Amino acid sequence: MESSYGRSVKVRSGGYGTPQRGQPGGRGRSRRKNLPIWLVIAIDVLLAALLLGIFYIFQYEIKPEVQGEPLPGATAAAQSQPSAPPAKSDAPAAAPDVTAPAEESPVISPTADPSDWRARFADRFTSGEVVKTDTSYKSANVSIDVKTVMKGDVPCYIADIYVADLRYFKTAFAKKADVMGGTELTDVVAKANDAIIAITGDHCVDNLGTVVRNGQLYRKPKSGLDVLVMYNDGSMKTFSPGDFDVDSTLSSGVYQIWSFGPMLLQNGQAMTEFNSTVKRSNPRTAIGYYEPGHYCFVVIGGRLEGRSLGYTLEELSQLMEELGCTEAYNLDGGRSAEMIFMDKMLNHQDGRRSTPDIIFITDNPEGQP
Amino acid sequence: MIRKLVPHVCVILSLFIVTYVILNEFNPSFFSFTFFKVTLIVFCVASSLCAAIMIALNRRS
Repeated sequence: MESSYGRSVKVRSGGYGTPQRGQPGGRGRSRRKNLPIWLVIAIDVLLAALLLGIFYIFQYEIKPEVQGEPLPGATAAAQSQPSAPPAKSDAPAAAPDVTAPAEESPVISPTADPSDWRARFADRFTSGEVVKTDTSYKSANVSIDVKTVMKGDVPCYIADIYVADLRYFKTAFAKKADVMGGTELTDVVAKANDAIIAITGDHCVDNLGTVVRNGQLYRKPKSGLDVLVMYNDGSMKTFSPGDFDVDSTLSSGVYQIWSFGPMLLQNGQAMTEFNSTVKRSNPRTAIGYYEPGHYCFVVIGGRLEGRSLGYTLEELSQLMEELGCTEAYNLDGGRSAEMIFMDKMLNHQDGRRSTPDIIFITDNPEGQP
Repeated sequence: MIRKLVPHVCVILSLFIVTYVILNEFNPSFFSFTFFKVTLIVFCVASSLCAAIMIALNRRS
């Protein structure tokens, strides 16, 4: 039996299939000169690179736009919102349009009690006027104090945030606020959404995991990442992947879900082991939770030439414990780590990266011009 | 035709997987991609086929 193996032996004996001198050249395959083995391997490598390039383009460059689906109870929740007291508009860019009908507001909790927050944190809010300084913003609905702490050569930007209503705590996607898929620089997204203060989110476009934004479900399957859930009552809870049940969480009244992590505190205590491989010093973004209506945004500077590298996860965890947070969660860092306060970027680093989403505080939740 | 293609498929997919492993060091969720899982399965099938062909060739020679 003449197998193809037999043929290949013949070809090889002829020196890559070249007909030997004095022999008839033959026809077809035996006449063809085989490529050298190194060239064949090189073509395979190039083909692999080409296919990886195509994969990259489809995975990271061409991002499908994803529309959100309202979670159960969203409509009733939106209608349950009371209106906030009017603010005196000496801040045109961030002045709230509090006269907008409640039906236009985004998804908010049936269980949140904004009047309770307003009363509980009354000393944090003004009676209606907007008071702005370089490091603070106070109105009838929002109170933000930003401080910069130097720990060694590492600058830490810490924003202490109180909101009178969950409506003022929002997230937005790049390009189209309620459509997942685009990327833009953080300050551009912040300005487009009338944010007073903004930090980068969980880079949800390129990561896997459950995504809920402003009460809309954008992606359901969970990933191997830790999860931060913000409920409709304004409380937050971190979950490890093993403890996170998507269906039961979604049915319990969810306002936001971030999938990035890792969680930084366990029962309010700093941790030493994390569900992440990016443990070395880096610029960091984190969100902290004290109680419903009281949160903090933290950005750790880094990657400055000849200066700080940032924080390790352990150092960040320690900081969040020192701040007194009960829950804390690491968000997209590195070149994405940015804090925008009143249209100004507070931290500076060598190089920036476009981000798919931001977390922000606004005094204009209905997005009125 | 298959015995000519399979080794090349193995080379290409092995490069894919090496790239994924490197990327996973920077983005730990990379192994969760469905695309990665499919690549791994195809690679396993291709490498098994390649091994079977090699064994057959060795026996004949």
